[in-house]
Amino acid sequence: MQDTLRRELEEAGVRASDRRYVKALALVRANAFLSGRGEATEEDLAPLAHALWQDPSQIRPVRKAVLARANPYLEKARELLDDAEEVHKEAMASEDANAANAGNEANKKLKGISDRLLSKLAEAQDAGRDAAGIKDTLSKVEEMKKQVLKHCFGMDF
Amino acid sequence: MTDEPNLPPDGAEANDLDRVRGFLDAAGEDEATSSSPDGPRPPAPPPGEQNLAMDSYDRRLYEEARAVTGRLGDMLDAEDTPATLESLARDLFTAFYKVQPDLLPEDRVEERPLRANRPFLETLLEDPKTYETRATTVLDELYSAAAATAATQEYLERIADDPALVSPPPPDEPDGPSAADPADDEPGDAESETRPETPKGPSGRALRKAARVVADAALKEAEDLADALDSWGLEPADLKTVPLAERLELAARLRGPDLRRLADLVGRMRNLQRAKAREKVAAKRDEVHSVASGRPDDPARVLPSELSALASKSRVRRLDFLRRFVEGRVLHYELRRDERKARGPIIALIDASSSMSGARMEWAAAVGLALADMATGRGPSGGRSCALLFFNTRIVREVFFDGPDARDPKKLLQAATVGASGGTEYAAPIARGVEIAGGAVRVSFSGADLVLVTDGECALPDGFLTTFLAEKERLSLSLHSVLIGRSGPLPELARYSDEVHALGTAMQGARDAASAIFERLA
Repeated sequence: MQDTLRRELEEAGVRASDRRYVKALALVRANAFLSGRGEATEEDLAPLAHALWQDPSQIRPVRKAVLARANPYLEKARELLDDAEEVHKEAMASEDANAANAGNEANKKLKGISDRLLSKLAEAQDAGRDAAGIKDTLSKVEEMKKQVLKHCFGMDF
Repeated sequence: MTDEPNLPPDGAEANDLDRVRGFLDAAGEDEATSSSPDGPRPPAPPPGEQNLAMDSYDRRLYEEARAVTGRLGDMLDAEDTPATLESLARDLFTAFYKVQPDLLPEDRVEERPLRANRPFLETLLEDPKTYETRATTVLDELYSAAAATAATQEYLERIADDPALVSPPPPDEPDGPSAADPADDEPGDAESETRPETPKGPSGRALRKAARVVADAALKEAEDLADALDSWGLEPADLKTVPLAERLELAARLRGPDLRRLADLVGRMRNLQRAKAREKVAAKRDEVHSVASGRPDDPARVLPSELSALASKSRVRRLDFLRRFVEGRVLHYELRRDERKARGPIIALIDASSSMSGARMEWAAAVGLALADMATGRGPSGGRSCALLFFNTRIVREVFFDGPDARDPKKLLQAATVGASGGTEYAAPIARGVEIAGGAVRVSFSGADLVLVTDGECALPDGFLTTFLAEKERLSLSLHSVLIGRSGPLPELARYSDEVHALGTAMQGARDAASAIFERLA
């Protein structure tokens, strides 16, 4: 399981030392234990997303590779969150003259992202996967939507 | 959970912090600008390929559209496709989708797409037809994808006719736009080199003409799509929950040649049905039916004899009127509110036997779909459930338009694509219709009205008929039958139908029959 992940990461140009991989095993075991499992599953690889990068530029590829194995639904949700952050940032940077246009576009996009997240949430729940991360992502996007409405249209909830 | 793993194995902490700070400062800006001396950069979209600003969500929508739009994919993947066409297609999508398409500064665009696409895009964005197209496409990925596809195709045809429309590449890039291999389109390779003297680009007039034709193609495509969806009774809200890829496939199928005729017919039926519903609402306005004493909601309904007191020169009469008005004792016209009788669900039993194939089946399906549109619509006759049951000697297909996904466009396709085959037998569909109307299948169908559309009479067994009539009475069902291709007396269907409409073999009287059914059930 970890070997496959290691190979995938190396293909993505991320090389971590043997020592780091061995140390990281404790995280996998701990995650399995804390989730009430006596044996680690692919889902328990999730914490490695925080452990295998060495440079900030590697955060995204590591997270992508790890989550693709540990929780593919969450990985898609994180990609959508990245999109939402970009949309949100652009709208929040808009100035008065352009705020309505930017807010309109961002609001529509954030709604679209929320809809997609909801469908990922349903898929994850149907597959019996941990959906807490997707719910968390969803609430972040909802919060961004509120901020955009406030910034661009003065609507406060 | 872990503190250690984030530390670089061989770097000083201060250096690491500097790099993190640098990364955070650069976050959100073009990723290509964030330097990472150690290790390769994460895969990112090719920088500078677009002339129009595009965020990652725009890019995601475009990629999804490209993946399922065969026409666009085929154009862009063809061997002789210009290297810059993909970039142009993305820009066209952006131009139609974004609220405010912004051209990036020239120094942020690679030379090749800049030279090949920029003049055309600038001209296109200024074209009035583009403004017109954008009225339909802005913030709608489905329409934007359709418009961008049509525009890309038209552009390809334009440059095939007139290669001078595209500015030739600089002399150090011998591959012309019509010969370049897309795989060779490495980003940034032209930027580091000194730009030689650039060859002359296309004339403004030629560009304007091409932009007009391309924008016109996009507009026509967007309008065609809107018309097609409108014919099927689909509104943007009905498509909102369907993923883009499915929406595009659905739109392509609903506009396909095999369904186009049916779409037109459904559109006409729907218009007829809506006209009938409007007539009915207009006919049911409140009417004066009596005079009563009290205080009317509207002072205009006070009787003239009472109003004359108000206009009297006598102060006492005026005050007396006002007193009685306040006390609610003035004579006024009483209105009768003709409350719309709440109609129940509708179950249409549609004969799909082989003799129905062709115009008969299309007409029957169109009536069924118009009934479904009426029942599930937002109009005065809406908020009901509808089921279409297609049958020959057995039930061939059941489509239920009810619940939160009552207007799911996929159901339209299910109902529109039933093939006609086999013989005709009423017992099975009628039994099933009664079962559904009895609420046995879905509660929302209790007390439904039945509509039977068929082109062949067949006798119901006596025992079955007795049971059916008893159930019909018990559930207060009504059965409206339409018999196609028959004239004269209709003894069999008339035995158990509340009304029977007969259409000629060439569908004479079809409009009247549809009109009567819509009027009954609206």
